[in-house]
Order: sequence, then structure tokens, then C-alpha cells
Amino acid sequence: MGTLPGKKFVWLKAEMVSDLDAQTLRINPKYGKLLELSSDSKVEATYKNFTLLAKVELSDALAAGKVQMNKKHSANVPEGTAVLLMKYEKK
Amino acid sequence: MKILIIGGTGAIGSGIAKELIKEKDVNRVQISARHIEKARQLEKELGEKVSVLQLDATEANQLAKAIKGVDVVINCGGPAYKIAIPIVKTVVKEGVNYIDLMDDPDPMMKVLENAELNKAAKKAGITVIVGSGLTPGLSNMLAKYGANKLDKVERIDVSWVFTSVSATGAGAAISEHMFNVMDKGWTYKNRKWVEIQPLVDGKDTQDFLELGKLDVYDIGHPEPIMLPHYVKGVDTVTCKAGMLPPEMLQLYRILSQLRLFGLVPIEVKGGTVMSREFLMKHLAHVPSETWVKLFKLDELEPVFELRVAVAGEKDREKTSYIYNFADVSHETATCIPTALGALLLGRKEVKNKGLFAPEGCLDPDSYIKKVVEKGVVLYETVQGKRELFKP
Repeated sequence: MGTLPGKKFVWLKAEMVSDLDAQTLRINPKYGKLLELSSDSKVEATYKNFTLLAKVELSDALAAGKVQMNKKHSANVPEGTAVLLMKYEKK
Repeated sequence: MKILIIGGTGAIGSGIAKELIKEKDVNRVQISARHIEKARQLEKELGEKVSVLQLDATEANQLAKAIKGVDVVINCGGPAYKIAIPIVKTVVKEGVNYIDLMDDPDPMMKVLENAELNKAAKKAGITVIVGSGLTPGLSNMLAKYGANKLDKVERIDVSWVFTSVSATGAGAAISEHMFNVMDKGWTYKNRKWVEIQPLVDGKDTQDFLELGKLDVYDIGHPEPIMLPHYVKGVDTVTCKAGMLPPEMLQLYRILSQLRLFGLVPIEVKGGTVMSREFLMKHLAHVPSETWVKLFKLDELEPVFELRVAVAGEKDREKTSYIYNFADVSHETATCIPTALGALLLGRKEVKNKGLFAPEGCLDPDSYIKKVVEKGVVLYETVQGKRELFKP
């Protein structure tokens, strides 16, 4: 039951990979369901002052608790740190 | 069939609308909201069957005008303890079928014990179903389903548990409701309603599908108010809650014991602040980084679980039936039963007229079968053996 007010969000630990383009993130489908993401939804991924607006790829093969991103982002997001993910909504 | 959803722009209201527009005999789903902008976005997203309406449903005249020509009103607005009773009174007066998600115990008690309102609903030839989401709602129907298989029902124990990760994104109405049920409530013990201290009384360790064995405590949800009206001879009905991480439960327990979830007026510099309202305002501005640290949001998976246990006698043997449900949140399994109840009302398949909890007017066998067909995955444990539930 919702007890934490505000927008839905998750914090997932970053894993850098090379088989994703820089504007796509890969997450487990259970987070897609939780954040109510459809196939054309975008998410906002934030770590400190770095924000990435990205498409989402859902993969059962990816363990819960992780988000995979292109290793180009490792300068902004240290491997293994938690990144805030929210569904992107036009302001 | 024309259906009006009050408070239709939240996750639950829009989820119900999505369920309803799949049905051929639903011609129009009208989504009402106090603030029209979000509703307009939904109208665009959901297509031609959906239209929007600016409405303050607590204003009887506005609501009466809005429900003319409507077959079923679904009330997803909240919190129930603030808005449900005036809305129920208006739909009864206007003679329109109604279903809601009433999840606070106080209005539930007031509605189910209101003989005059029940008589008026019967006279109007309508059915009013209160508390028909997941919990209460499907929880009650599962309890009734299990109870019907027993010769004598001794106790019904409803419980739900969730992780902090599944608890983010609460709108103001849901937070207010949760603060209400963590402030006060009742359990049904030895055929009497007894006041409880939420998250303190009634400790039990129960077995859940994904989260395993967890401690749960009494919470002020309405199942203990509802089920004794419809399950003959039941001795005890409880509703309990558990949370992970334990720090989350501990924080809410302390806030509850300090009565900060209550509507307690506090004098501050010549003005008055209500403790619950202060908490609502304050917590809405706590940064998500703080929740991560406090409630281990980066360590847990999103899980919401419901468990309904029914115990008694069958053929003079002690027998129990346990029903379990688990998902990433409660939302899908709240929307499906509510939409189903509305469809049954709109199709005139509910023969009982008057004012009921769902287990008082819907057939549990066919209802649960349809809920499962629509995608809610349930497990049944009979005498210790758990299997996928195929009603």
C-alpha cells in the first residue's frame, strides 16, 4: 500500500554494458510494471546532477535491483551505485 | 453501458478505466476529477470510449447532475473516511448502481449498519457495493469462498505485506487512508468488535508466497467490520499488516503510538495544526534519497502480498483454506475486481438490491473464477498443501 507520498520511483544499481545504445536502459520487467511503463514510455534516470532521459528495454534475464546502461555513462554514474528511475512525464 | 468513475485520474481509477474499455458492452467511461488537466491527458491516451468531466463529487448537486443517465458509478476517490458517505447518500437518492473501494473502517461501519439507507437503496431498486477492490474486496470474496466450503467457520485472518519499494508514489488520498488505518481500528474477537492499537496489537508470524515468514500486526482495515455481517457464526476476523524493511514498520509504529497519524489538534504559535495534516505536508517534501536510506529502497524488490486464511470444521475435522496473492504492487489486483463488480452491476447480473459489502451480494465462485480469468494469479493451500488456484 502506498505510504511514501509523491511520484513512483525505484532506485536500481547501475551496471555498465556495451550492448545497449546510450539512450536506452535495461531493467527487469517487474520495475516496468511497477512504474506503469508501456513500450513507448521513457524514464528519467538521475544520479547526483546527471539526468538521462531514456527508452527502456525490459529483460527477464536481468536480475532485480539492477539497471543496465551503456558504459559511456560510467563517467557520470559509477558502476554499482544506485540510480533513481521515474517514468518521464512531459511537464 | 455508461460508467462514471469518480476520482478516475489516479493509478487505480485509470487502471479501472483501461479494464472497462476492453468490454464490448461498455459504450462510455466518463472520468471525473476535481482538476480536469490530468483527466484530459487520460482521455487522449485511452481513446474514443473515454470522456472527462470536472466534478467535485462531495457536492451533492453536482454529483446528482453528473450521474443522470449513468448505469454504474465507481468511486475511486478518497480518503473514504472523508468523502464516501455523502457520495453513497447521493447515489441512493438518485437511484444509480454504485461500487467503491471503501477501505476505512469508520465509514464502513456507518454504511453497513445504516438500515434507512439500505431500505432506500432497496426501494430505488439499486445495488450499492462498498469496499470492492483488492483489500477489502477480493480478500472478502476469498474469505467467503473458503467459508462456504466449511460446515463451521471459526476464524478468518486477512493480512497484507509490502516492501518499501512497492509503496512509493502514493497520492494524497492513499497516504491519508494509510495514516488513518495506522491510527485506529477494530478487530472482531469472540463475536465482538474490539478496538486495536494498529501495528502494535495482534502480532502473528505468517507465511507469504515471496516474502516467506513475516511478522504482521493488527491494522485498522475494514474486513473485520464487513465479514461478520455475511459469514454466519464466525468467531474471529482479523486484518493484519506487515512491512519490509522492519525499519519501515518500526517508524510507522512509533508515529502511530505518538498519535501523530491521528486528527489531533496541536496549538502552534496561536494557530492550530492537525498532526496528520502536518505529517502529510511534511512527508510529501522528503527527498527520495532520504527514503532510500531509511527504507532500504535500493536493496529490496517491489512486492505486495495478500493472504486470506479461513479456518473451521468440515465433516467434524479441523480444516483450513489459505489464499495467497503476490505482485509488484496492489494496483492491478485492485482494478480487476472493481471493474468486474461494475460490469456485473451494469449487466444487471446482481440480483440483490440494497447496500452490501461484495461478499453479501456477489457469488464468490463465479466472481473469483472471472477474476482469475482476467489475470489475477492466486494460490490455494488446503491442509498445508499449496497449489495454483484454478477455481
